[in-house]
Amino acid sequence: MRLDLCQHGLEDALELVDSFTRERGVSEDLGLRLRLVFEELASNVFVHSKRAGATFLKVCLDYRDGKVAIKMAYDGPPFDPTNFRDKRMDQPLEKREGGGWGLFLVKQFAQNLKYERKGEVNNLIVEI
Amino acid sequence: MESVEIKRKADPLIVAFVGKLDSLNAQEVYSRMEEILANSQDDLILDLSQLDYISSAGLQVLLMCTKNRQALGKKTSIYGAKGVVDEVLTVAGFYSFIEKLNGTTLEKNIENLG
Repeated sequence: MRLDLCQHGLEDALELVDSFTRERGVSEDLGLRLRLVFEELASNVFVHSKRAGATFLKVCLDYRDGKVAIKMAYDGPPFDPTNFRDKRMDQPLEKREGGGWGLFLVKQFAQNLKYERKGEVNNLIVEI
Repeated sequence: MESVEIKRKADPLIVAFVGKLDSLNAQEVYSRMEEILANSQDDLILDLSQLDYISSAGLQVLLMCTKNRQALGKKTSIYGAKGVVDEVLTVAGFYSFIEKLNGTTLEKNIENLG
């Protein structure tokens, strides 16, 4: 499914995931992990990538052998989440002002996270 | 708002988060908690026993609550986190910062707080 970032919001993207989970009979636990990883990655696109000029997000979900795979493609400037570390994570919680947990949680809950830039498009494949 | 329920108004203040705490509702929950905490000088227990899901946006709400109580010299505790919610709190290091209550019921935990 292709989402136009000007016409759709994160809520539409999350509804896509929730529908997939229901329709494909994904277990509750795996469904919640899928939603978490997807929310963190997609919110980065809807907030940061969109601000930098991204116009679309394509999402493809697949469920087989007890695992879910997410394929995401979005335009805008290059951003490789596999190589990004939020410096706020270096601060102890007591001193942290903002968040910084998004991509950290993705890396904790995803079994595989791969990034590739093809032309003007960022491509992510995640397995959970 | 179904996401936030006050279970006990004082000594300690107990607030339950219900359903999901994510990017879609975190700002609303944050605002609601600011209102609730502005009217309380007590320790806070966050009852997460009915919370099915939390994302990084939700963690920011928990952090705000804890810092709010800390500024008053009060404590924040978490009760009932389960499944993916508990796992998120664990890997994000929240239990090094917020006490995890282990009593079998919320009432038992309140008794133990003395």
